Amino acid sequence: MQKTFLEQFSELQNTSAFPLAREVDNETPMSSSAVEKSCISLVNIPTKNALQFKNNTSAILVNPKQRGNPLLKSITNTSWEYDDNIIPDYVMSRTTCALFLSLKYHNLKPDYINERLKQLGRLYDLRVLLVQVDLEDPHHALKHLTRVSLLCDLTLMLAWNAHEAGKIIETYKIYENKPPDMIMEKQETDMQLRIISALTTIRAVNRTDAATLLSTFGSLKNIIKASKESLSLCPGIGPQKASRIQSVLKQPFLKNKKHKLNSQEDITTYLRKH
Amino acid sequence: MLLIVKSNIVSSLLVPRSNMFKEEWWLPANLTFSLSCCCDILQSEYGFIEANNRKIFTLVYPDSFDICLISKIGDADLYISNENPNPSYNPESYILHSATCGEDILHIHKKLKRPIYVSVFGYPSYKTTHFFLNIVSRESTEKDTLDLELLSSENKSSIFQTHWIIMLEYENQMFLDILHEDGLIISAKGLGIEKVFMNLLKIYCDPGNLIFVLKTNSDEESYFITELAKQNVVYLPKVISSENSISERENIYKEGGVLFISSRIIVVDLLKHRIPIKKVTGFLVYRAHKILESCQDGFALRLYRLENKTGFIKAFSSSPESFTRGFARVERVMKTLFLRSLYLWPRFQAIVNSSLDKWKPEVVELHIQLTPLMLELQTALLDLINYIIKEIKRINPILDTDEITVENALSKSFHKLLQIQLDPVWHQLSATTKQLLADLKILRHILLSLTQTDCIRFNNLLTSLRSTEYAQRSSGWVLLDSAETLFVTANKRLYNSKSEIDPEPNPKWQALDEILKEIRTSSHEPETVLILVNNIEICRQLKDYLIKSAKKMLVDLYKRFFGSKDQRIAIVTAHSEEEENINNCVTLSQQQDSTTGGVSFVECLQENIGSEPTVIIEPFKKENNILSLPKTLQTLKPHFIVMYDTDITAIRQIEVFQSTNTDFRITVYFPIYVGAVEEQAYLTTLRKERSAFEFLIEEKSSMIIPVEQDGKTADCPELLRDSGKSVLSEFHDTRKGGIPKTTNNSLIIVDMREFRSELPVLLHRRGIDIDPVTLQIGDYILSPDICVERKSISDLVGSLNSGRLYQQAVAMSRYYAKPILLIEFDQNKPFDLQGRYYLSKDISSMDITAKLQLLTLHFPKLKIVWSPSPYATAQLFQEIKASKPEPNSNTAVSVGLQDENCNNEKFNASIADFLSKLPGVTTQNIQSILNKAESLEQLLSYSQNELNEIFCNNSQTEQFYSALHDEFNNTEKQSAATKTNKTRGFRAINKNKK
Repeated sequence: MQKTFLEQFSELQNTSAFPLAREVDNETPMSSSAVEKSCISLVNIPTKNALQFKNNTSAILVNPKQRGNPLLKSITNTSWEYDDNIIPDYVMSRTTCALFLSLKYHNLKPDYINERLKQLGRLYDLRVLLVQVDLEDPHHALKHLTRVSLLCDLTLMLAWNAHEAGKIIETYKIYENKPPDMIMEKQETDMQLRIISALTTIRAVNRTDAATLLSTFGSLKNIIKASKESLSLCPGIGPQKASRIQSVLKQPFLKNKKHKLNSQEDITTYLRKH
Repeated sequence: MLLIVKSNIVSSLLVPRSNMFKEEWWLPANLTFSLSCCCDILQSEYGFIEANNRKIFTLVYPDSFDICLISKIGDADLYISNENPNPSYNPESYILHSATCGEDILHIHKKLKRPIYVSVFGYPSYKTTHFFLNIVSRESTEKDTLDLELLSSENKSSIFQTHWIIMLEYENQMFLDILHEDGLIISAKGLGIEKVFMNLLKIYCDPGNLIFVLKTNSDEESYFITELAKQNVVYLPKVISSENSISERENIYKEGGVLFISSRIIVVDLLKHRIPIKKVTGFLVYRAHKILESCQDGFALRLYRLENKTGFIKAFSSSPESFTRGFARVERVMKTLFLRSLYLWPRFQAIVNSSLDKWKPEVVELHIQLTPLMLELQTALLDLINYIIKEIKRINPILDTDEITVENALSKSFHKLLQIQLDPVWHQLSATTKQLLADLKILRHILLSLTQTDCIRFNNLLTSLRSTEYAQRSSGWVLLDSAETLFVTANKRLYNSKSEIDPEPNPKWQALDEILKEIRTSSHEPETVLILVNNIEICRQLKDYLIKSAKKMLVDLYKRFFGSKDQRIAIVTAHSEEEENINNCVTLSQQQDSTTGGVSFVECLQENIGSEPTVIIEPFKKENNILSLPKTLQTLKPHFIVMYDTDITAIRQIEVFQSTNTDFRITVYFPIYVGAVEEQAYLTTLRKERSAFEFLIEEKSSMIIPVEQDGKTADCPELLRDSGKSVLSEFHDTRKGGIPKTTNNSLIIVDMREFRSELPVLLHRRGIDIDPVTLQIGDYILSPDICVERKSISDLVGSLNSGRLYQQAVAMSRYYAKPILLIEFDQNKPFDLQGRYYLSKDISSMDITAKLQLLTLHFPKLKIVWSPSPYATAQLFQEIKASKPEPNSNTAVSVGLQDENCNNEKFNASIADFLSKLPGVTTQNIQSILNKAESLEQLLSYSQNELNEIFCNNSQTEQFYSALHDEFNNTEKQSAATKTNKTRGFRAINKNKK
């Protein structure tokens, strides 16, 4: 039976995930609030900018100052467009922007980058300083830029030619919403091995311990429910490891839960501590 | 008899230093008695000196003794020191002196540190002074005269037992050179540098000394210790490893003596001031050529020289080839070792030649021709190797491939060579290059097995490579014409012209037969024959051959490898049992069959070598221990040796053995294939060693060594710690490198594992103090906020691909406000090439850039620092650190051990990590799981449907649910777990160790 879109959507609305997703949308990363804050100081930028970014998420926004930069030729896999209203040179996503700097230019006008950075302030989460290394001896200039980037919380990326620089900008756009799976450890496909490797994330538990635990208790459920005593009876797992395992597995997910004072007992222990 | 032995011994103890005095004078017996009748004169020297001149002797005799100086003409005075090798009348330069007009007698106590330097000074009022210098044993005079007879005989026997291993002339010279002056000895392989080293150890084995020995491996350590124990040395050297706790180590340091120590421990203990640096007598470096590979040893020596200006550093190496690679390698090595003298001992050195030529073993060289089929195989193989080498060079134009040539590929050390060259850049090579290198290794193996194994095994090896599966995997050499020739010819060797099974025997077997026959006929007594081979497989092969005869053995083998399948399995298991029985060498006894006149060989145990003639087959290096052959020679004393394979070290070891054992003559048989790779490989090794020495001699003559290089004066540029200091503050004077008064020095906390790199040394040089600890997170902690993870390009590529960097980034940004990823380039390459992460042409570097970008997207806080070299990094660190608070090592160590201080996350880190690894949990849904559920227990109580509401994905929910609730079969897991344990990467295992 075919459901209409409306039906499906209303189902979706009923799930618990939906309000959360909306929340996320409304909250919008600190950057947008940061934008608003900084707008107060930088008068001439209208607040609607933050909204505008959202509309144009499919394209890279390019500051008209970058007109004629050869790196634009290398951006072939995504679209890009000029936008008068952005402060950085390139805006790849809502949270990512880039400033472009050629070392040759930097050598001639060392103050330029400081000016731009002053304007940029702390907008966006990830501020990339894309440096094209086109000097014979770049070390001195690079050292200076490294210090600048450490001071201003910039992420320094190097490109050795315009093509590479273009590709870097492009990749940031393409990877905008990419999960980090590609740079994470390869997951094992076998169920048991995955559980064993999960158990080893608990400090003090090595692979052999994890394997023993799983074979003694049979399932993960039993391990979680096991008492401290029965855990410590396992070969290779003493009372210390056992309490460590328990403290991790029984931990609540949310952090601030710890400080919630639930019962009378908690309150007394809390008071005693402070 | 005893006396003769004794005098022989002592002559090696007391040796004049100057060369002009060569002949030794022995006092007539009557003079001895006139002197004092109840003491033993151990040695006497006669000599003359000009006025105001000195003659210096070195004494290493371990017991108490008197030195007695008698002036025949003129007046000689005696000055003695055990610290200053050049004592004079200057009061600061000696510890004992006697300057009477008549007989000068000084007592030297047993406890005084050896070696003792004795200076005989010619009084200025006589033009020349003639003197007798007598060394008199003290022991007998101290004891009751009644027991004299008994005691003196005991005394003699103890001297006899503690005698030095008799050293050849050149060994003696080597020993004296290094004893008198700190230096680096480079000797040819097999010339017995270990003997010199051991004698040196023996002198220093005394609790009054504190000596560290670097760069020995555990085999050598146990060898030295057992050998010294055999010679009744009381204070044996100790081995310090990570098993000793810190307090234990401190106690051992206080006790003194000779200590074998790993470089990591010594660096850490020096930095932590656990070693009384001022009291250290000296450092011995055994494998000096490896000093540049890891910077720890150099750092240890630097720390030592900073504080201790009087102790010695002596270095040894028996690998001249290692010094020819790279730019000004010897100079750099000597600079790191703080040494000024270089001693070269090639085989062609005059003294070595003369001392080995005096008593040479008789050599019978047998030239053997390869069969035509073998020649054909060899040509085909060489073609293939040539092809692969060309391919490697074509794909990797940047890589330094000068050393990768066909000729080198034949030599033994090729594996090592490749490892040294490619290990640092391994991750930067493309998969094809790696495959080519693997194929090169395989081809080399085939080439070696052509002469080493029999034709059946050889063919079997080739058939295993002839599968389509391998052809697809390999780099394509299997498809070449030469490969076809190879396969066909190898097969041809199994059959005769009528295509019956008639495997071709190895030509060398026949030769071996003839040699054994000749030995049998030439001597009447039962002789022990030692056959030396390359490895244990050949041992086994020869044993089979001798027991079974060629034909039967080959047919048996043929049946095993190419017979029916059931049969094959049966025999293979039997074979593996056999392997357990034989461990290292094979002993066979020859039994004469009186009826037929033939000889049969029966395997027996080495212990019950009886009256029958015995054949012992042994590899050159038992258990990879280079010192095993001299030991075997010493115990067996064989008169006949067959060098079934060639090995340059073994040949020299036999030469040295013959020269030290002059009571019989060894005959060495040398069967060698003419025009074969084997011969070429041997010649190449010889030639390379020779040219290495020639290069070193050249280098030595043109080397400029500044006087202050030994670091004993205050102004050695290597030891200054103020480079870059002046930039920051004009007033700090840390020139003295004074660690005690470094209140002004800033501090960087460095992970123990980082001491393999050069950066800690450079930081230390800049006047920054270094605190070595084991860090859970990061490599360097600059300030409480700043944590740095250092990656070389190769590491970067490797860890981006393996996912390690991601984990490290997670951990760093969890605990530190300013995590930094430091990407360090290779300083030996021009910077503009550095943009290419891969050295191979056939793989794109954009892949790595993209991955790095993905990393920055997920860790916007992570700063990236690009550094052209460790020098630049050190400078940058200093600048970053300026005006920042100092880090605290205690907090740095505990970071990552406790969970409390991860401040920037909403969820508890450890449970989130655990959850993220579970099946069904992905990076996309983990946030919603953490948000919607409260704890793992709550998730457990959910039904599958309830879970689905969180996951919104059926298959993921299913996976997660079954992961939580499914029972697992016990047996599979264990095996699975152990399996993955084995396959884990090298770096990962390292991490776990700590």
